Amino acid sequence: MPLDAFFKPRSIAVIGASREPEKVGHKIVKNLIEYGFKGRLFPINPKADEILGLKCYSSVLDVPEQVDLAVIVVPGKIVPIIAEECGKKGVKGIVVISAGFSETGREGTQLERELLAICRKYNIRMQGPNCLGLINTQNRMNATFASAKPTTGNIAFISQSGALGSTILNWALQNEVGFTSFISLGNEADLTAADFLESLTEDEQTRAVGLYIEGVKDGPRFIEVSKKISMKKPVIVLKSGTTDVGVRAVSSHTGSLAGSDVAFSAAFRKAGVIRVDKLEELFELVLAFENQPLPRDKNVLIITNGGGPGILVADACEKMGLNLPLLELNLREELRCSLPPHASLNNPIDILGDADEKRYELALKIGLKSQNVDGIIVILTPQAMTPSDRVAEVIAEVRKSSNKPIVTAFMGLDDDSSAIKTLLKNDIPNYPFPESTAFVLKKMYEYASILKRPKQEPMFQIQVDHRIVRNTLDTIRKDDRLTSTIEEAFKIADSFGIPVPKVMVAHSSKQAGDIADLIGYPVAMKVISPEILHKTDVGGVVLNITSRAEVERNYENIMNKVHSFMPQARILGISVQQMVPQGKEVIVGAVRDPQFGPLMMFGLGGIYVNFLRDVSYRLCPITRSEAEEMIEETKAYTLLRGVRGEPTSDINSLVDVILRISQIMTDFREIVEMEINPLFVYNEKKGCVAVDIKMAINKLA
Amino acid sequence: MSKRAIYIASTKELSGKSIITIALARISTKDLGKSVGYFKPIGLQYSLNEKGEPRDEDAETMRKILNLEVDVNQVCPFVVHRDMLLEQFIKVSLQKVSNKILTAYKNASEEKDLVLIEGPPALSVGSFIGCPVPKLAADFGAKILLVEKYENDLIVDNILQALDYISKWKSSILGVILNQVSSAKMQKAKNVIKPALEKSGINVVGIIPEDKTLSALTVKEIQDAIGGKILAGKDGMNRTVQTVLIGAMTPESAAGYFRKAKDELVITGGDRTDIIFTALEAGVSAMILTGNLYPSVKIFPRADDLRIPIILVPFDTYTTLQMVQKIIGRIKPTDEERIKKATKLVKENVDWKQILQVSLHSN
Repeated sequence: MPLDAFFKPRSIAVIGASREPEKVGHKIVKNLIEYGFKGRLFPINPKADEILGLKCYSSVLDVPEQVDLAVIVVPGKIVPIIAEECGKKGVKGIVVISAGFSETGREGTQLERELLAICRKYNIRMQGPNCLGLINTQNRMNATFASAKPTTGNIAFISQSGALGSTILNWALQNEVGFTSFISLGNEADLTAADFLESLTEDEQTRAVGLYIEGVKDGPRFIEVSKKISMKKPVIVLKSGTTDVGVRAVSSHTGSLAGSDVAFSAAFRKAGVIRVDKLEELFELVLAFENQPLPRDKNVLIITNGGGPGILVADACEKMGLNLPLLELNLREELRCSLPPHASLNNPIDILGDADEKRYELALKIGLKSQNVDGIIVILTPQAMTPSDRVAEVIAEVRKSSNKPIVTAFMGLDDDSSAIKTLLKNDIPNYPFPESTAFVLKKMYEYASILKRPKQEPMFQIQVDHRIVRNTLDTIRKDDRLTSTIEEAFKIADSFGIPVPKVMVAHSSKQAGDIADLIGYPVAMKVISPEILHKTDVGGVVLNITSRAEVERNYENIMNKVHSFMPQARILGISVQQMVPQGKEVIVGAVRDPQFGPLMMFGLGGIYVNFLRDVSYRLCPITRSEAEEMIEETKAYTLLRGVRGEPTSDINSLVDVILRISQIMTDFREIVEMEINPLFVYNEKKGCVAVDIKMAINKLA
Repeated sequence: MSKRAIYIASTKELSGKSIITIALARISTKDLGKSVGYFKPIGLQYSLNEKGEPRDEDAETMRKILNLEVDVNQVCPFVVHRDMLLEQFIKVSLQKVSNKILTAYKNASEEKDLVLIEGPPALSVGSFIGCPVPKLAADFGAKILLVEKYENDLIVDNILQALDYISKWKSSILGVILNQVSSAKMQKAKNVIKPALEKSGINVVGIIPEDKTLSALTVKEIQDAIGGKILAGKDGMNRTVQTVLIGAMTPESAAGYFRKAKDELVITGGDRTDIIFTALEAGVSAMILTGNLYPSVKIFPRADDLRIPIILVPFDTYTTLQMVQKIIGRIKPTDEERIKKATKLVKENVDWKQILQVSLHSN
């Protein structure tokens, strides 16, 4: 795998190794020795001859052998000097544990830049700085100063937070979760989450990846790498900073733009990673994904020895969008013959409070046999005669030959009870609260659907004359503006085949009259001003004008009204536009997210848009199926399909507009915002038309 | 006494007299090779120099721009504080003041091909010492060029009244410049206002469109005026500011405003790291952080890289906004960039040949 210097070094130097047990430089050497690293180990410290029985060198340059990886724990200020030495020595990778870099402000940032320049000069890859280190359980390498010693398993964990990282190591030990590797990212000056994800893609031992992040360094690359790894193994991501207050905290913590949560959600969706909202959920999913097969579909069977918990899980399944199918008749019959008469044979199957391991085994085996069932939830409540240990053993036995996921909720038992130990040891995820079982099955189903996504959907691409857009953008720039006039926006949309009404800009009442005569009546008139965002509010819009005299009168009227409302606004003219028939009003728009690029938005239009928030988002470039999903996700979809006998609207033409806006945003990086509001959608096969378009271009640095 | 003189005056404050004076001076010296003098009979921009003597601050600025090697008190002999006109009236001998002004004017205009005289905020100012604008214009033998900001139709009444007042003192108007005409009003200025004035015998010698960049401040000017500590982005202090925005919303909605505003100054709290980063990414001109709340140190390197000044002030957001808006009204045309722009505007939109030649050859 790539980054071999980090995951499979043959020799490691610990620069800043210490004899004093409480120092980080000591703990790392100790962890490396005690965890059983088999390669060569060189502590570096000019003031010591020997540390923990190993010969100590005063500089990495003095080491007589090749050094693959250097773990650096010296004070931040001298790290660049050490890195320079590592470069001369031919070290391939460095893990910089030391702090005092960009996380501390201006001087630290300067120091980090110097350090990075040295790494680039010598072609060294760097993890950190300001990180906890890394662990690879497969070659018994623990190059961290964390106290927990993780067991070997199938999970890789990457964390932007060092503190959270060491907590997770401890939790994993308690829950029998084993790791392949553990990576603390630190400041990500060189190696980022995407780099480590890339290297884990090819690691056969790793079956799932847990990721805690506060932001990403290179959005598009993160998506690209995540897409690839997600096709091989699930990536479960916990991204903090989802609320306004959280976003503020993330900005302060990471020293970068936290980015909108909407953009992150869209990015995760595009990348095919599974997003969770809580640390607890991350743990729950890691447990489930470590060893379980994936469900084929979302049909779940619940087996319980208690009515109440069974109903709770049934409710949870329903809320998560999972189905609770009935078993086939013959299987129900089989159950009926073996279970007490008042046992419930529906779903949940209630095998009653006095159920022993035999009843569990029977129900479980029948559930596995059923074609109607894709995953099984087993609930156990401790009642007087419940042999929880033996039930756990039976489940463990049945699971061995199962190709369906089985998750359990053994409730009200001690965490270290032998039943739970048996379950966890046999790779059966157990949860103390029953609702978690529904959650994990839902997320496993979600991942199964990600795997089923079409591998190569053709990219939407139409041939257009870019010169029209280019010239229009140049005019806006030359005019020292950031926003387009409606005429310019229509010209751009029209060149990409988006239907627009006829429009021209007038600079005098006479000219307005001439234009109206040319376009034909009725017309609409709208003020054009970069400063006015809501034209109607300042009397800047007049609709349905039917004569030349009215047009001329309205020209003066609009000018006067707008000027008295907003004397500061720069008025570029008044647009005279062909009136088009009313259609269903929707909004199609896009803004350029600083981290992930253009973000498409679709939603219901009209005056309720800000209130209803009935919108969906995707990152550009958008495929046809993504555009269709965007529409289907909203309530607007129901309206477009026609309610109460209304005819269906032309959804195809709407999909087409979404795809074309996506291409405009992808083709022209200087457009930072484009919004059609409203877009009138007509009945099937009658198309749609953009009634108003706002567009903004970027500022020049 | 020289007759080669133009008295640039207005009926209302802040009409753009200084910038037009500078532009005319530039054209006369650079394009026509004339020697140009500057004179400001009554100064109201009262301040004290290093020695504790009163001087007019704007006159001092003009003296520097026009490279006049005389003491500021020679180009602006009578300086008075706006709130102390009456004290002056009681204190001074009217005859003496009037003589002092005339003597100073004589010196300032000596050996000059052209003298540009800058008037006070209104034609009446100076009446308390018997020296209103038309009286002095008659004394100097100067013709009055009115510079008027066109906001609404009342401008015509104001100008007609001024004409009446001026003729009472046996002075005459060279013409009127309609200044800072917004694009929305341009059509009307040309088609309605100009003919209306000309019907009354008033020559409209120029209609100058509004140029926001001319009234734009630099970050440095704002910082000079309101103080505060520059925390980062020092290299961007000469960026211009045209719009002021308050950052009190969510970063997402803020981003929408920041994207569409040009040369904006963002005022926000130092604890709003989210807004600060959004503003940095959107490329605003500068940020003022209020309430002496230090931001996260992590923003500094980014602000330095992007050359976006971040200034910390002790005031609350509302007070800061008021202070900034106050400065925006009193723009000083000190930098070369603005002077060039203004000169170009005047050249393109004013019949400067008529103004300068008429006055140069008139007797």
